[in-house]
Amino acid sequence: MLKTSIDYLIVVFVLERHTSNEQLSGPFLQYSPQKLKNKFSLETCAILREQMDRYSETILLKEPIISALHQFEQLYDHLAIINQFFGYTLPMPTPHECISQLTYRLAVIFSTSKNIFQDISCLFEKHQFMVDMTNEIRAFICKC
Amino acid sequence: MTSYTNIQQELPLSTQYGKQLPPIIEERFINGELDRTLIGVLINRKLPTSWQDLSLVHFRLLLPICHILLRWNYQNEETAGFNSTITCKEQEYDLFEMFKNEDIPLLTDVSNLPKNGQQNYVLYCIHFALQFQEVVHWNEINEDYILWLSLLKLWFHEQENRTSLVEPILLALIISFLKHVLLDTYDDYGKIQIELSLKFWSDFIDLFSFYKYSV
Repeated sequence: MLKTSIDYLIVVFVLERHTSNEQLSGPFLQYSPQKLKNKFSLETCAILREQMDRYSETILLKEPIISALHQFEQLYDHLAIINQFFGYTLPMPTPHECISQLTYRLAVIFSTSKNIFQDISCLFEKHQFMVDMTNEIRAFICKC
Repeated sequence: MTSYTNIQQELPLSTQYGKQLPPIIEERFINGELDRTLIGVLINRKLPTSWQDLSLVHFRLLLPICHILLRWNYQNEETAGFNSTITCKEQEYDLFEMFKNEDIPLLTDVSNLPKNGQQNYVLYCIHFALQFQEVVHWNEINEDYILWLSLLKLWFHEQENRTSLVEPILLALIISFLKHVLLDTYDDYGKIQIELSLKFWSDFIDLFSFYKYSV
């Protein structure tokens, strides 16, 4: 009886673990953030967040970066007005998802980097998905 | 947010020529579903002066909505002295001329459009700003990213000089977004519960196996 219960638990355990690590192939922008999020365990999320915080520790004042990010903020405000005017029919990302102190810090550090892409690969070492996703989005933005 | 608490308008809302705004517009404004700036355009029959200093890409983003608002003024008010020309960075644009062949809805019809119709007009504003330089297959993109990607595209096209800072800032915007959307776990109560449960059973099975083989 106990053995059957244990066997059952093992099956549940394996199944749950299997479903939470579902393999997704690119292009990744077709999947919802929630689905992509399942690729990461809580531990991985914590490790990557800490790595990013450590990487972006230096704070320098770079006026042109502040100015460029301010333009982004203004665009956010006006696109939000347009989306609101047409009935909020598309999901608007929250302000902090679009721009934060982290954005500024990363921009400053990347601007002083000799090889940004190498830095990004090092930052996400062992998590190639993050590098691939970054490249996919960059290619999407710059293709025109 | 301050624009919603800055109560100055008396109801019913009317233009400087005394024409009452459409009830549906007033209702949406009262319920906080319409930005005060747009009401200001309807009432004053002109655009905020701060918009005149925006970049061309940014200014074009707002033009379809400006056209909808000013067309309502033109069709419902005293037209003498009405000027459909607006200025951005000392360049003049005639809104009515610019959109005369475009299928732009009337102000009073906007709220009655089907969902996909309203989405298409949001995307139209974005593509108009980008001057239709590119065909984007939005149907291949998850809906949650559409406006964020549009923001990036608009910002990227706004950087006319393409200085050496554009690439680092673009990558910073992308990576900080991915961090917040994919790695933040503050709201993942369900996921935390599942992982704790898995860890519990995993430890339990390990312990049981150890006990079973050691007896």
